[in-house]
Amino acid sequence: MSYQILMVLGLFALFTPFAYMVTPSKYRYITLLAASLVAMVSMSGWGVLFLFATALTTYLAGRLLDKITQNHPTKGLEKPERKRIKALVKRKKKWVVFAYVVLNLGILLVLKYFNFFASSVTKLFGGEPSLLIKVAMPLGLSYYTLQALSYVVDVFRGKYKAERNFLKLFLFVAFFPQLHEGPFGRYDALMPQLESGQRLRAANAYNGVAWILWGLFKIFMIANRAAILSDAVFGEYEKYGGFTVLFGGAMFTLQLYAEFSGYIDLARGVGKIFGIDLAQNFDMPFLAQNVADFWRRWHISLGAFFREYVFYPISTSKVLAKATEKMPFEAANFLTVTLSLFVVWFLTGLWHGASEKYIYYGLYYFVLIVIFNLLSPLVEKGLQKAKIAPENKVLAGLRIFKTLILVLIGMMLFRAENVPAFFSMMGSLFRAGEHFSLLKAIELPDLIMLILSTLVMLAGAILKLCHVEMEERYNALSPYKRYAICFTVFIFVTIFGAYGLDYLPPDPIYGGF
Amino acid sequence: MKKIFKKIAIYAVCLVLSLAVYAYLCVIVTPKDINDAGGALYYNGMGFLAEPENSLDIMVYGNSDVYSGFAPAVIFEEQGYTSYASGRARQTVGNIQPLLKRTLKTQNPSLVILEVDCLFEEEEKSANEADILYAPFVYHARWKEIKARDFYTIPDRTGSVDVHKGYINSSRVYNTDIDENYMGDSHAAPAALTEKNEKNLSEFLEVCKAHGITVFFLELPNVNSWNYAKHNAVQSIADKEGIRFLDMNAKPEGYVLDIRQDFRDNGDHLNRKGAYKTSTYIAAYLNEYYGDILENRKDNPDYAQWQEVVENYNNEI
Repeated sequence: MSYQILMVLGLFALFTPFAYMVTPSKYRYITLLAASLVAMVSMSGWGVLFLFATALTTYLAGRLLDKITQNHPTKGLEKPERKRIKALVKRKKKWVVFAYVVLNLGILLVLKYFNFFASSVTKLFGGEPSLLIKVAMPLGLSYYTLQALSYVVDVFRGKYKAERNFLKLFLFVAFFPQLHEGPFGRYDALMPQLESGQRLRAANAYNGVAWILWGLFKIFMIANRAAILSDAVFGEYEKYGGFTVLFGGAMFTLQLYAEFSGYIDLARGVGKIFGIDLAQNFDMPFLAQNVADFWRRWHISLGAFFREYVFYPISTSKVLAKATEKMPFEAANFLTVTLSLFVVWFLTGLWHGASEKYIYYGLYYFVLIVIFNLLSPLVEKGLQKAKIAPENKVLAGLRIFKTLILVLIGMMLFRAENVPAFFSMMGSLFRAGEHFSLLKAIELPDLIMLILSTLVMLAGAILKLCHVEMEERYNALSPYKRYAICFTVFIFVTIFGAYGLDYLPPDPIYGGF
Repeated sequence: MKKIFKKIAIYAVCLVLSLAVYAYLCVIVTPKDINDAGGALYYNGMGFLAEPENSLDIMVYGNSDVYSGFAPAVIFEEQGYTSYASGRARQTVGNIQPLLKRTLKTQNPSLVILEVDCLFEEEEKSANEADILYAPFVYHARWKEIKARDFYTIPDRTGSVDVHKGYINSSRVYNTDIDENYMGDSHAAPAALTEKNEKNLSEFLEVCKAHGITVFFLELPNVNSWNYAKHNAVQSIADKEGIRFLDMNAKPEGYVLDIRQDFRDNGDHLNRKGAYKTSTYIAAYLNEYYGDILENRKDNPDYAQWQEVVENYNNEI
């Protein structure tokens, strides 16, 4: 299945530029939209109807919000009247956004979460779920729903005017490279690029192809091989001892990072071919100093969405302000932030999947961040007393190590079959079990290739840390050199990649959302 | 102008060089022997090309059911008939036509067995994944076992004799949860063949007739895709054409299929236990009904390689 999606993406990346090139620049967005819709149909069939429904309601909601503002001019009115009209406009707009959210999150809730909630509720009362729906979830439902939602909320806030051209808005929601695993795009950043109809440039194509190959390298050279080891551990975790269980968790972390960031690189590469810069989704997350920092570097676009559209609205809401107005400032602040964080992390967990383990996964980070917020002032005081500078390198290293351990535990919860399995794996850290038998799961050449490829990926990160901009250096090379590099990497990944014969195709982890 | 020509020339050289590298890679990674990784896929039901001329008495064509369920070694051990299981995944009777024509260039089988599940396969394979042009994508995992010979040997399906004779052995047992009465109502209305498959079948039968080859319809056990509607459709064609039809799903006398033990997957493909049981039954059946046109080659020194085939099979199981 994952290969089918890669094939579709690859074919569209290959052939859409030709159609794009022969289209007059003014209408090139229509070519991109057509390609996106054909890609959606080939990957998700009738799921395209849900995509259309979201695009249509998003367009109508945006237009309606604009119209409400236009129909209630306040220019030249007295202050009290202006205030009254503004309140009226806001109330009307809120109803539009409310209806929009109910409809679109309703689709998401029904298709993605109905069975989970129905099963949970019926099991709670000791019964067996009888009413379950069997509808294939449209590809990228969770991604495009939230992306569209961000647009409507922004229009509501008056950040920008609503899009007047339905086809352009449809393209914003459906742009094919980001349909599968994101990244979430913001309308004000993405739309000017989508509608610009800029001509194809060889430099962009070389740059895009390099990103695509780098993504394929991560997926086929690293993720698919790390999956062999992590699947072996998580499939039979009872038989392995603590160190190996942790190693399995580390392999899953590596797999998830290489696969997810690989898909994002692929999507960004396809975008770059058309001169479109998609949002960056990773920024060396394993160098994070704490878990909050980790989430600012990992799946950046999701974190930014929840920060802007969930955390801020809740933490600045009048209801919460009123409820905490009589409290001392620090207590009120703590309560407001904690409550907002709880909602954010509950939703983050739920977004990852319709299962209670994902809710626990989100709440795990909630607890860690709350503890961090509580302890930070004490730690800072302690450091001051001990005269240790916060930017001390040893201290930074220890912080990174601590964060890695916490992230590793989180990843194990994320990958475990269920919550009891996770606790059993944690328990295995304190009991004996097999260790080296895990090596039987992977052939030696594959293990060597996994180690070497991981080192190459690490080298990329180290060069970035040393401010060596590989992308810039590559772009400065002559076209022939760039071609030679791309061709060599293509052949290398084709031959040494872990796919096809002898390898089972692992399903993309972030693709099911 | 000169600059443009120079640019075009450099791009042309790049393209030619890339194609040359790709072509050489195709040669390197393609299996050179049926026992190489991916060898069975590359030989793709065409291992008979390496058989000595006119040495096969029976050719069996069909989809993946054939290479999973028909063991030529068992047929030889039981009755001394030489056969080749030319099965390919999901192939239609239209895909089998070229195979038959290639067979007849070097072989003169007395009996052709058509495994009739292929009559209900609808999509003809347009691209053959065993094609050497796709080799770097299909056989790339061979980098782990690459030998010096891979760098200078041109791939050739006639190069090495297939000791399995097309059969692929699997010891896996899949305890399928499918109902024992998977065949449904024995009076079910005959299932329809697509127009294309009907036409291709009639051409297939004509070619066999023109070469004086007897045709026999066989359906190997398949609890997923087979039922009485299909059985009745094939029976009616068999009756019309005067062809014998043996359906191993219709519980022939003396044959008991154990659907909990005899499959390697959820009821689609037989495992070695199921294949052994089924091939033993078929061998006796062939002797009973086609003994007059088939010859026992067991004591024929020209067929000494078949002893090796049997030994290899016995060692593997």
